This record gives sequence, C-alpha cells and structure tokens, in this order.
Amino acid sequence: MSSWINDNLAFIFVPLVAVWVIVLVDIVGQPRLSTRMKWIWGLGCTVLWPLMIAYWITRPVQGRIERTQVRTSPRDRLVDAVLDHEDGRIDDSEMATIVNELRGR
Amino acid sequence: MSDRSSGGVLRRLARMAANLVYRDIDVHVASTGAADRPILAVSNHFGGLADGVLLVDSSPRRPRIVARDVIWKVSLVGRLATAAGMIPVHRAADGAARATNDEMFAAAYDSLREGEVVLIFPEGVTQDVPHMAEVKTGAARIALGARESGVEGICIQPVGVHYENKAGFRSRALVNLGPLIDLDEWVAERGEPVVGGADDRAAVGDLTGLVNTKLRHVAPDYPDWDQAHALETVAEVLLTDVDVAAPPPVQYGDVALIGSRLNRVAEPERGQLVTLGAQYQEALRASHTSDHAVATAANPVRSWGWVLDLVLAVLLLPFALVGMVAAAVPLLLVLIASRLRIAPAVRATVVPGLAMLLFLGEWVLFALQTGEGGSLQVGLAAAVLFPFLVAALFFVAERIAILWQRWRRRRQPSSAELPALQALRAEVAAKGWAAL
Repeated sequence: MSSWINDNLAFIFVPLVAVWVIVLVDIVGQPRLSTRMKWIWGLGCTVLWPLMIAYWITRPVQGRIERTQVRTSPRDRLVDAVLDHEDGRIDDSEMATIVNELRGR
Repeated sequence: MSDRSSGGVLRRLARMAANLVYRDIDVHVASTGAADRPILAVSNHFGGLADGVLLVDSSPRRPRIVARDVIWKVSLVGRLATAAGMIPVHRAADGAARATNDEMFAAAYDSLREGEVVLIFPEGVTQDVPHMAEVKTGAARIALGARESGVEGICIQPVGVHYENKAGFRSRALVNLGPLIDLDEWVAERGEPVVGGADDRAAVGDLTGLVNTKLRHVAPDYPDWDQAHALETVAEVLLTDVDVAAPPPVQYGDVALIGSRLNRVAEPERGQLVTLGAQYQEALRASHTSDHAVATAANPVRSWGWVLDLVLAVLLLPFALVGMVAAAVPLLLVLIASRLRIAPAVRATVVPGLAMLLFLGEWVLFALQTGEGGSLQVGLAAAVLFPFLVAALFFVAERIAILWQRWRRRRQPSSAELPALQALRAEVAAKGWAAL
C-alpha cells in the first residue's frame, strides 16, 4: 500500500488537491457569482474531486508485478492450474478436480 | 545524473509511455525469489521500442538494455540511450567498424556484478511473424563470461511479450516472466565443467539451447497468425466457461497464456483445435455475435457493472471533451501513425516513441498557451490538468467503446443460427478441455 501511495502521490493526489484549491480560490474570487452560487460551485467541486480520488483509490489497479499476486478469480485459477499442470506441479487428477470445480461439476 | 536517479526517471517515463500507449498490460510471474540477485533477462523481440517500454515498466528493477549500436548514430537518441544505461552491441550486419564487442561484454559483466538486471533480445532482430527467430549465442556468452569473471548467483530470466495488436494505439499486452534459470545449478547439473566462460563453445551451445527452449515456452510461438487467432478463440471459450457471469471482454493476458498452452499440445490434437477454433471464429463473425452471447444464450446473465461505467463516463464527459480539444493534434498524429502501411514492428517503435514526444510536447504547449495572458495560476492549473484531461478522454472513449461492445456482444444470434453455434461451441470446449 505504501509503495502504491509513493508511486501515485505526485502524479494523482498532489495535482488533484492543487487544482481543487485553485478552483476554490477562483470561485470565491469571482465577482459576478452570488454567494449562493459560490456555495453551490464550491460544494460541487468539493464533492466531485473526493469522489474521483476515492475512485482512483478503490479501482483495482496496482503495480504491474503486484497485480499478479492477487489472482483469485476463476479465470486466474484456471490459468495457474493449466500452467502448473504443464510444468508438473500438479498431476492429472488434481487438474481434473480443479477444472471440474471451476466448471461447476 | 546518478545511476539511481536515471533509473527512476527511466522507469517513470516507461510507465507513462506504457499507460499512454496500452489500455491494459498484464504481467504474469512464474517465480519470484531473485530480488537481489544479478539477472540476465532474455526476451522475444516482436515490438521494437514497445518491447523496451513494456519490459522496463514491468521489471522490478531498472534493466540495462543491450541494444544495436545503430541507435547511437542519431545523436539525441544516442544520448538518451546512454542516459538510460543502455549498452551498445556492434554487429557486422549493421556495418559495424568494430571487430569485437569487448566493451559490451565488460559493461554487461560489471552490471551483473553490481547485482543489476541486464536485458538482451537474443534473436537480435524484431519479428513480424508470431514466432521467434533463431536464438543467437549472445545471452549465453554474457552469462557464462560474467560467471567466469567472478560474478556469483546469476539467474537467467526468460520473458515473453505478447501483443493483442503490437502496432495499435490503446491496445492490450501481456508480459510473461517465466521460471528463472539458476546458472550455477545449470552448470552443476550439466556435469561438465565450463572452461573459459564465454569461449567454451560447447557450454555456450548448450546454454543457448536451454534459453531457446525456455524463451519459446513463455513467448508467442505460433506458426502463423491464423493459427494464433484460432487457438486464442479456443482459449476464450474455455475462460468464458469457467466464469460465464464475468462481463466481456476476457482479460487478454489470460487468453494469451491459455492460447500458448494449447499451441504446445501434441499433434494431431493441436491441429484439430486449430481447425475447430477457426471454424467457430468464422461462424461468430458470420453471425455478428460473440462467444459470450452464445455461452449465455440459454441463461442470459444480468450485471449492473455497466451502470457504474455509464455514470463515471457521464461525470467525466466534460473533462474528456476538453481533453479531446487539448490533445487533438497528438492524438490524431498517433492514430495516423498506428495505421501507416509500414512493417508492424517498425510501427511498434514509431507509435510509442511518437506518442511520448507529441503528448509531452502538447502538455508543455497547452500550459504555455493557456497561461499566455501572464497568469501563472492559469498556466499552472493547465499544466496540472493536462494529464487528467487526457486520462479522462481515454477513460470516457474506452468506457463508451466497451459499453457499445457489450451491447453488441449481448445481442443474441438468431434462433436459426443459435443451435449450430452452440453445437460448434460445445465441440470446441470439449476438445479444448480434453487437451488441457
């Protein structure tokens, strides 16, 4: 997690927070906007940016190598079993068990 | 620039280029455990510069790439290559004046001695066919020569790079890191002592044979593109079978790995798989449908993941439209480059190189033009926003494309076509499962 933050801090969080601050300052400084509209724009920006940041945090994107260590889907299990079977790490009966399980049989 | 910092910059640039050019990159790792050992990585060479970008991006450590010296003939590119720690190799075929590659070997030995990763493409040339050329002796000579010079614990890492469309922009790729070859263990198991390191022709020949076998195991090695596509169709059927509820498309890395495995099935089963895969592929094309639609025709799968995609696409649409205006010129030029009628391997060099140059250039121009009125704040905001706007553009365009494809793929084949497609699919699946 810490390496993920280090990798993405400069490119994602800092720019987003910087833009958010700049936009807020710009909104507050707009002479033509009423106070009510400034609040609406400010709230819009304050909600939209955290939503996008939350999306970046929660989306399943990791480092190239780290991503391979999270292999839990049925398709991942099939790929691993097929390669393990070919390399002799699992035998025919183990392979058949895994395939039948994955195919719901 | 220190070695560490140049490595960091190189890897960041590679990450940027990879994220810019490819929409999805899978990495498959067969074994770990050589984190601090000297590694000689050997890779197939289908994609020119694209291979380098993907391999630097996927490597756990900055690799020093052994590359043809023609790169250094272009002054600026040569300087960049030197800054990136690349090692020039002189080849008679490129008109090299030098008779030997002593400097290349010395630089590679030093890097391995420092515990670094050295990357070499042992075919020596790029390929436009889906199989590798003859593996040359360079990798074996570097490994055995380094060992002879006192470097301990060398591992050889075979790496296969697979492309969905190597010259395409925003395509998908797989980097497949195979099991490590422990050089000391190989020497011990071989039985005969290695005398003279890189000069022991028998040992070099044996090790080259092993590298050839291991590399072909992880890299694409199909006789031709038709057979590759046919076997990947069979792979898609099997992968869909185990998770029918997952929305299409199937992950490219999984298709490439299972397709490669099917390619290694013994004859005549392999030939039968190719024939069936090609027939099914053609039937799907003729019916304007997809394997997922045929697989789910009896029990249609309802998923609501598309709603999140749609909401995000709508939310980001204004940013994407600004991104389209901001990056229109580089985008257009890169798309044109990806469709040039030149060798695909050359396009695979041109597209990532051009994309990086043009998008970085446009980034600077966008910031300067936007802040032209003298407003530092606005210029800074434009500079900060540009990558976000481009990312929003790609995100929205690709979400819309995926939503469109999902809608098309869910379109069921006609009731007249469906039984034949289902019967053919069942035959493909039965043969595929039996082969595994």
